Amino acid sequence: MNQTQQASRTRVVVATKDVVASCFEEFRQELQRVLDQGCDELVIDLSSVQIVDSRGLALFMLCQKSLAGTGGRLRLVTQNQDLRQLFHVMRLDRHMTVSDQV
Amino acid sequence: MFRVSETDDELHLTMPAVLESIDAADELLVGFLVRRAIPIDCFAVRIVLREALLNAVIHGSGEMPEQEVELDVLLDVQGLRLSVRDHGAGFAWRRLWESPPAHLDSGRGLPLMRIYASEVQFNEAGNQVTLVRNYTLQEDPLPVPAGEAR
Repeated sequence: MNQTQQASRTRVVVATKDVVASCFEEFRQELQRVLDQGCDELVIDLSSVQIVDSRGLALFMLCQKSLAGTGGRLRLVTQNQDLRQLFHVMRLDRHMTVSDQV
Repeated sequence: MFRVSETDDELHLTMPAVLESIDAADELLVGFLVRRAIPIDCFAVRIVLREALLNAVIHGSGEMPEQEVELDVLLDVQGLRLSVRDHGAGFAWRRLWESPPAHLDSGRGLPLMRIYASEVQFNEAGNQVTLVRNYTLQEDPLPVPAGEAR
């Protein structure tokens, strides 16, 4: 995963592989490091991701909950229609923003 | 040990019950479908495959590499039939099927299978699941997010 920092308290994390169970712990630790540094908005760029499983969805929800506790927000970025539909049918888009541009 | 056998319309895998096996099985199944140019929603197949294997590896086998999980894939006239079997004691799938938990960090596997599979069937014990995904043009489309055209 790669990180960049944009306007003041926005952090962008780029997922470099599919967000699935086998790399859940690695991903979780990386996101926790970013959250520990504090941010108002966490953007997870899923442009290189083809699939997210139930563990990945859970990870996003855990991030959202952590951010919400401090008034922050989570945004997922993907142009992949399969993923956007997945987030919609699993109702993630009720809890976080899903957009197609970082 | 990972074992694979393949025919024109069948794929059989036996794999150690570790998470990396799921990735390998996913890749093998995608290759199987692509080589045959199967008219099917590959994303949906990958979702149901991954969720079925995840249950078998984690809940059915305790993520123990000495335990094995078996996958059978069959292409029939209706679509793709996928069976996943573990050697665990099973689980109370009926209760979870009717009342999925609202846990933040778990419980989405069964709903995903229900949404993305055309049919889902557990054996009585709950240590084998068979999922069917119909070929494309035989499925109702999934709901489209608001503001997006299909």
